[in-house]
Amino acid sequence: MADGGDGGSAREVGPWDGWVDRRGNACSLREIRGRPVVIAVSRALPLDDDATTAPLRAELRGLGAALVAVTPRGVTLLQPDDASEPLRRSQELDQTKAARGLRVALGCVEGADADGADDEDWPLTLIMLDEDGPAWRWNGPAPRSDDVGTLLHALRRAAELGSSTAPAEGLTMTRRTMLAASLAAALAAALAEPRAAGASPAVPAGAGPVTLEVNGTRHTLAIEPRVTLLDALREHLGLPGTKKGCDHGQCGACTVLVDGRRINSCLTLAIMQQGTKITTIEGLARGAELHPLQAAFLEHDGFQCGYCTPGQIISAVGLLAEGHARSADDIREQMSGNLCRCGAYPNIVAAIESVRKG
Amino acid sequence: MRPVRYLKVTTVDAAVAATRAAPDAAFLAGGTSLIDLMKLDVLDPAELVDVNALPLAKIEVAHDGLHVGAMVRNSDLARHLDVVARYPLLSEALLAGASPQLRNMATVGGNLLQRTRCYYFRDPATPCNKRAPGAGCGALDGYNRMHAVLGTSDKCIAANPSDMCVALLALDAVVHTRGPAGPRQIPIAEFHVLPGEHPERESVLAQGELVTGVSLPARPEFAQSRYLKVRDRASYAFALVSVGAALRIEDGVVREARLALGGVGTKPWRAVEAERLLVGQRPERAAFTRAAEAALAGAKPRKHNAFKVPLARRAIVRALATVKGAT
Repeated sequence: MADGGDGGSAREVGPWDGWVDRRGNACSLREIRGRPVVIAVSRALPLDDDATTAPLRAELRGLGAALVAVTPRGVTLLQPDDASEPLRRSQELDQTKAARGLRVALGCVEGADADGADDEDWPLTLIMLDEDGPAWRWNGPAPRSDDVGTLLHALRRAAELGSSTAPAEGLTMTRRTMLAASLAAALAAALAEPRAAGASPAVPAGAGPVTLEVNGTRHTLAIEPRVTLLDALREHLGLPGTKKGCDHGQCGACTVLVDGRRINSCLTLAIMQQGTKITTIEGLARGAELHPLQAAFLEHDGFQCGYCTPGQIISAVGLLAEGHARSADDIREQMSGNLCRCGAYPNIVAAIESVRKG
Repeated sequence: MRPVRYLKVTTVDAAVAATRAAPDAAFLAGGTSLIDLMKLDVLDPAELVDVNALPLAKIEVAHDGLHVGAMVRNSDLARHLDVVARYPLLSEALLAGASPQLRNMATVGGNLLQRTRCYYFRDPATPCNKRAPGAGCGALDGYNRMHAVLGTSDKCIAANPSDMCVALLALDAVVHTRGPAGPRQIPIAEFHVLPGEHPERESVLAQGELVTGVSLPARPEFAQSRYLKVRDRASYAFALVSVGAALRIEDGVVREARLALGGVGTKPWRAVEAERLLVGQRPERAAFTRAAEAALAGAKPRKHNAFKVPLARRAIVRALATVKGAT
């Protein structure tokens, strides 16, 4: 492959398995399958530490792509900053050769030159590969090894150009690119892989780490993006106080506070609530001392079966924090998102009204 | 809910780039419609592009109006002091919608694209041209009490459920978007489209085009605007009929009128002919009644929703009568 660029299998230019991450854990390039990949080829790329790569990883998150950086020293995989392991570096073994092979395969250089003494002259080439092959290609001067700005600019510029419908300056699909396209498609296929092996065709996001701060405690869960906040609380965090009634935002039993505001936890995904502060019914009491609304619901007998009660109480906490209720009628209207099949409404309103009046 | 990829974006450019060539991706804002419909298997995006972190959550007050970012929550917009004072119709419409919890989640951008509550659309076991083009319509000869009487076609009679859009329509709002072709501004009256032969298409948005905000012009009469919503229960229910009304009354005569209807149209419905009939008239019941007749003149009721026609007429008269200065 290193001497050809003639359509050989991508597996020959670089091992997709057998990589290690910074912590020494084995990992595979297959982990980026199913998402677009930007391949950056350059003399040097500023990918050595978390601080310099932070803005790059943020930009990659915006693009929804992973970055495969190819330099004379080897191949580096940079994941977007919402990915589980931000930086994965390959083993040193064979990397120089693999990098040269990739460079040829991607049409950045003629095969005969690849093994020459031109290592210092690799200009910057960015190639965006999506499911259909190369989506765009961008060329520019090589950045210095400490110059994160150039690469960042290139990524942004490339994304801009890529998003315009008309062909634009700097966005090229040359014959050489077309030649490379077949190779790049093979590369993309290798990345997208196990279709042939019988796995599901569109690879969904699997279980990944999601960090939630609930009642003052941070938890990291291995859950899929489709898991609602309600299910994360009940099924994964062992906090069943938040109830599942309708599961469609029509009953209010699942009400929790997010940053102090009441929401339906059944209609938000846990992964959307990273970085927020979540309060559930379990987090209201201070030790043995009940929250005033909890005490008021007991005092006024604000429930019968009790199933809607956690949602009613949390919703009432939100209501009082909002400060728009001036009367019992206001409370009725502003508690309309919480249904009670037992019909304990008069006592629920009385309980909330007693706390509102202090 | 089926497995789905998730992508959080922090810039509008990235949001557009992530979806421009991905028809199976969906923007995720408040989630109150999208996640609900994913659970019902009505929508099945391969990827969710979370736009909640975009810097579009500001309400900007200017002398010539108000600019509202697409990520502003319905509750924040409803309680904003300038909205309450200058556009009470909008505040009332927002507070008449859904519940406090849902209003804390739902966004302006998302609400512009709120999906219908048609039972057949929401049930994949039944035919629906909007959900599955060409499959037929279960509502035409099915149970259609909640369905539209204006703007219908023989493919779809699903009613647009948004309260906010009725207010925005009466207030001459302009929708701001950014898409693969760049930014553009769309008058709200041109934003939603009639079902016609293609009920699956509900707005003029292109693939990858993101709503970035809404602007409202400053007009003194908008401070005298009202929203009336008629529903099956006192709160937390979708409109059977709703009316947004604004009148500019000078010397006892209507100089300008804005009238928009919810619950009765396949899109938020501006009653242009009724507005024309009101101008130059004294703001009294006789003129209101004539306007109401005109607003419903084109109604095509089905078996169970014929009640909406007289209900809408009476609601229009009532709403116009509550505008300050009317009698």
